Parts: sequence; structure tokens; C-alpha cells
Amino acid sequence: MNNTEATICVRGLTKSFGGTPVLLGVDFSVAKGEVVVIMGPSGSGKTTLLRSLNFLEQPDAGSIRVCGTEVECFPNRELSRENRKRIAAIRQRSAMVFQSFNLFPHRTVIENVIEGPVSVKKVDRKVAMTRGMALLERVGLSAKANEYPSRLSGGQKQRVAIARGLAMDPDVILFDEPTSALDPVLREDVLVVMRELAREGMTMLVVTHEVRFAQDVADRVVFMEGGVVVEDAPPQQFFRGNDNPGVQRFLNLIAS
Amino acid sequence: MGELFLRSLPLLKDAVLMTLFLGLGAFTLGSILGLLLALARLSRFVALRALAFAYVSVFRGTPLLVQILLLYFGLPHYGVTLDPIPAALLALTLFAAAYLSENFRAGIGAVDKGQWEAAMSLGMGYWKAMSRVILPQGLRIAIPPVGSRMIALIKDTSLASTITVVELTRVAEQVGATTFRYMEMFLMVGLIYWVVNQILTILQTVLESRASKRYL
Amino acid sequence: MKRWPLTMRLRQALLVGVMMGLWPAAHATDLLPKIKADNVLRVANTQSSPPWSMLDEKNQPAGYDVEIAKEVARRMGVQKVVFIADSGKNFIEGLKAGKYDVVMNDLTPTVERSKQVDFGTPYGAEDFRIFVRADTTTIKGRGDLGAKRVGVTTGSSNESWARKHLTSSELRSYDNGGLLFSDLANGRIDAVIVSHFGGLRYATVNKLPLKEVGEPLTYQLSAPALAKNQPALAAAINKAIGEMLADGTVDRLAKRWVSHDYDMRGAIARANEDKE
Repeated sequence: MNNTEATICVRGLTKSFGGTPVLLGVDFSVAKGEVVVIMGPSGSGKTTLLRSLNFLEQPDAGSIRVCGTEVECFPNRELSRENRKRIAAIRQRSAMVFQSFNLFPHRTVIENVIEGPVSVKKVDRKVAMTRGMALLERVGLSAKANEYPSRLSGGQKQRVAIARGLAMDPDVILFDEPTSALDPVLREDVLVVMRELAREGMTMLVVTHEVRFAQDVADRVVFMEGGVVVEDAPPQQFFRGNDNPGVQRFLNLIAS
Repeated sequence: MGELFLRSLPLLKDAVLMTLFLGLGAFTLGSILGLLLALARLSRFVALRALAFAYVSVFRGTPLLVQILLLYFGLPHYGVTLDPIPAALLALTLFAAAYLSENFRAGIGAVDKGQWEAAMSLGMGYWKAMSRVILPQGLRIAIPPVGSRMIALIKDTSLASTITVVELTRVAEQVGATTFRYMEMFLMVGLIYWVVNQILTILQTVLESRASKRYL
Repeated sequence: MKRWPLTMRLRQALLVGVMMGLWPAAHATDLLPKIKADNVLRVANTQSSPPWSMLDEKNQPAGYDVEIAKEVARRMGVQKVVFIADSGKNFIEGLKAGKYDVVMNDLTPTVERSKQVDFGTPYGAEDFRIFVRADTTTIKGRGDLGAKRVGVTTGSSNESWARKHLTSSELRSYDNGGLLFSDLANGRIDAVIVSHFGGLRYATVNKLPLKEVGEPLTYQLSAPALAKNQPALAAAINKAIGEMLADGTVDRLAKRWVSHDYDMRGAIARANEDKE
């Protein structure tokens, strides 16, 4: 893969939490418009990898390039001011959707959506409102614009979270187990929105256990175990004809 | 006791205003200083953290009476002579700020970490996230202990009497000295303190329920 | 156990409360027999009001009022005096609660105060003077005190007198006499109303540049204070003081403890005329 075209390019990513190694030098890249699903057992480092991409976790070593901005991390070295500026730039080009939604409870739904554009990108409030309402329309929640998050169901909250991310006009959206906290009935609402986004060509990186989503929408499935990438293949190849015993075990587990 | 009350009324009226002025004034100024101290405690600069820690240790660890007396009677030895009311207001403010900063720090700390992560991933810097996302939630969480502190402060103003400020306790002592009816005066003034604090408690309750509506 | 209805429980609480309130009154016994039996007279003072009550170099109570108390006890046939240090605002309650037998600390008898406690025969008197900084020229007497900041001691008769007569001055009350004078010295107040001897003593002991101005403002008596309904004790104390006034003991003690040329009996006489 030609690295200069990649939206995301990760090299040698290493991270330990208090002595326990979680990422052992991961190399990884995502091209523009690709939908990549990351799977693996808990403790495999998949969430840490995702969170490192927008520096919610600070890697011990390795380099991360997102949309042309590169940050290189060295062991035991504090981030320079230059690097911190770059991280801010990376965060503005990417959006994250969290397992526990993390909506701002003290703001209404529409205020949640326009918070990013208005306070970070300094977009005019009226303009942001119009765009925000359009986004809520897209995820099917324009009727709830003036409600507070406490009044919404889990599925509705997650859709608002997606709209909030989209409001920043990101080049890539990072999804951290977006449906794991939802009961099965509500998951489909969210997955529908995600499928739409994929269809529209959004670059997406999704950590999830949703096999059907991966089969239907993903361009690649990346399997992680023990802090390294074990398998990286298109879904058909990944889900059928897979000879890796670790992957087989995992697939059996989540299938049941 | 009725005629004692009527006779003390003019003095008591002025004294209540003074008590409220000192109490609410120190609370307001102390909140501003307290918030700055709380943010300093959370700062990434070691010097700021140490300074704030030392401040809280000193003003929380020494009696308010000692602080008031030192400020009023001790400073003139170093060339700073304050009048009674400014001295009392300053002492009460510095004292309140120490406690309030701990209340605010706890409130900020109680905000879910996910809120920081959501704000950061939108590209907000530390101060923007703090002011737009964390503080509004943290301050709301802090309302109960902060409200208690305000009520305690109204009572703490009685120590201003030791540096000649004419507030409620001073009036009680004064009329008591003339009439020797100290107990009745203290009862009367105690009742006034209680009424003032009940009103403030009600205000706090209203504020709490208003602030929490959107979370329900 | 059957749950008692609210009204019954409230009545119980009220009954207990009333009984507790009446308890001290129900127990107001005659103090004199116990004093004679124990051979101890308990006297309360502040021990911080020189020259009336203070602590000497050995931290023992000393002063004019202290000596009067000791002499009164001797004449009553009581061997020992125990001095209890307390503050102005607690004296009344202390007497009522029987914590001490008598208060002797430069207390001025007034009609109003007599409603709460009984006063014995006056044993002392003092004149109140104005003290200012040595370099002050604008205050020469009472007439110049309008709109000035004047300091007094909390709970003292000079405070009550000042409140009544210096209505256009800004009065500030200090708990501690020493701090009162230091504020005069550093300029936070313009004048202090204090007894002639108290003022001189503070000024000389602390080496403060102060001076007295104007005529004496008023003469005020000092009398012992007792709880009400103690006729036997009051009679015994008054008898002792009466003897001391007649036989020159009062003058002798005054010359030793107040000033070598102070005419205490004359001052008492003048104060009696001034009485409010």
C-alpha cells in the first residue's frame, strides 16, 4: 500500500500500561474510504490501538500519521509543543464514537451536535444550527433536537453521538465498540446509520463484535491478539476458510 | 423579651446587613479564589500545584479566629494597617477559599472521564474542555458542599466582632453589657442567624433542583 | 411496644424541657452556709483589667479588686479565696448557675443591671478620661470627639457610657484592652475612653506615646455583683465593705494598688452623685 495516500498510517506502535505490554509494535494502515473492522478478544489491544489514533492514549513508541499530520513518539519522552499542536490537528480531522456515548448531559441534543463546530472551529452559530439539524435529520432524530440526552434511549444517544462526530466534517470516524452497551433491540438503529455512512464513502475504523456488519460492510477485517495484528484480510476470506486456530476459537465464541 | 427586641431593633437591622455583607461577600470572593486554587491544584505545573496545596493547608489548618486576629493586629507590625471591615472581609475570603477550592476540586473530579475524552476528541483544548464541558457539570455536583460552606460562613462572620466590626454577635454583646441580659440577646441573635440560614438553605435547594432538571 | 402518638411525645418533650429550665431556679439555695462550711469564697474576675484585676509576675491574681475581695473574705471569717477568671459576658450566667459566689471586677451598678443581679456596697470608683496619641492636637476634650473614631472595651461601663453620651462618634469595641491601645498607637482609632489609671498603666507598661486630655468625663462606681436572692451573703459582704470604708482600709488599699495619692473615698462620693 502506498503510504502517502493512506488516511491512517501506523508504524511500530507500542504501549504498556503499568508494566503490562498491550501493543507490541503494531503496523497498520487505512486508505481513504475504507471501512476497517478490528476484532479480537479482550486484552488484545484493539481498543488501545483505536484510542491511540487520536491520542486518547499516548503511545510509548511508534509513529502515527493521520491525514498527512504525523506524530512520532519516543519512550520516556514528553510530547513537544509542536507535537501537541499536531495532535490537536489530528483530533479535528477525526471523530470518535464511544461505547458509552459520552454525550454532554448539560446540553440539548442539537447543542451537543453544534458544540464542536461552534467552540472549536468557530463556525457561526446559526450556520452550525442549520447543518446540525440536517445531520440529526440524517440519523433520524431531528424531532429530539431540543431534548436533553437523559431523555433518550441508548440507541438514540449513540446516533446523536454519530451526528456530533459528523458535525466536525471528519476525514475518518473511529468507532469504539459502538453497540456493545446497547441491548440487541436498539443495536440495529445504530448499525443502519453506520451502514449509510459506509455507503457514502466515509473512512471508518470500527472496533466491534458485530459479525454481520463486518461481513456486509467492511473492506477489511483486522484480527488482533496479544498486542499484535494476527490476521488482516477481506471479510469473505476472514470469516470462511480461516485456518488460524486463534481466529477460529474467537469466531466460535462470538457466534454462540 | 419583646421590649428588649424592640429596643435592639435599630442596632440589629444594621447588624444583619453587615453579617450578610461579610458572609455573602466573602462567599463570592472566596468562590472566585477557590475556583482558581482548584484549577491550580489540577494544573500540570508542579509549582502551581504546590502553591495551591500550601495555601489550602495553611488556611484550612489554622483557626479562623487566629487568622482574623493576625490579619488585623499582626499586620500593622509590618506596615499594613487595614480597617476592621476590609480586614474581616479579607480574612473570611481567604478562609472560605481554602475550603471551597476543595469542594470545587472534588466536583470537577467527579465528572465522568468520558466527558474529557469526548471533548478532547472533538479537538477541544484543556481550557475549552474545562470551561465548556467539565466545569458546568462539576460545579453542579459541588452545589451541596458549597451551599453548606456558605451557611457556615454566615455563622463564621460572628468572629468579626473580635476586631470591632458591628455585626449580630457584637450587638448581642453590646446590649448584653448594658442590660446584663446576655442570654436573651444571644437567643435573639441565634434565632436571627437561624432564619437567615434557613432562607439560604431554601435557595440552595431551589438551585439544586433547577440545575438537576436536565439530568433527570 | 405501642407507638405513642405525636402529640403525646411532644408533650413529654415539653415537660422535660420545662423541668430542665426550672431546675436551677428550684435549686437556688443560700450560698453563705456552704461558703462558711468549705471556708472558701469563689470570686470571679477577668484578671485582665489593670489595676483592678490582673496577673502579677508570678501569674497570680493581683490588683485593687483582688485585694478588696481577700479583705472581705477575711472579715467574713472565710479563710480562702479562689479567683475564677472569666469574661464580662459570662459573669451573669456564672452567678446564676452558681459557678461563683460573687463577681468583683470593676462592675458598675445601674438600675437596668440590677434587674438581673444584686449589687453590693460600692468599694471603688474611677474616672473616665480621654486618651489620645501624644502628637494629636485636634482633640482637647469631650466636645472634640464628634465624628471621631473612639475605642472602648467591650462589656465595660465605659462602653455603655460612651454609647449613651458620645452619639456622634464612631465607636469601636475591643475585647482586649491591650489591643485597644495598640490601635490608638497605629492610628486606626483617634481616641480611647478608659479609666484614668487603666490608661496610664497601659501607656507606661507598653511605652506608648499617649496623653490624657480634657476633664474627667464621668465617675463610675465599682460594686460587687451577686446572684439574686442571696440576702445572707449580700449582708455579710456589705458589712465587711462598710467596715473597710469606715476604718480606712479602702483608702490604704487604693493608695497601694491604684495610685499613691488617690482619694478613693472622695471618688466614691463623687461617683455616687454622678450615678445613673
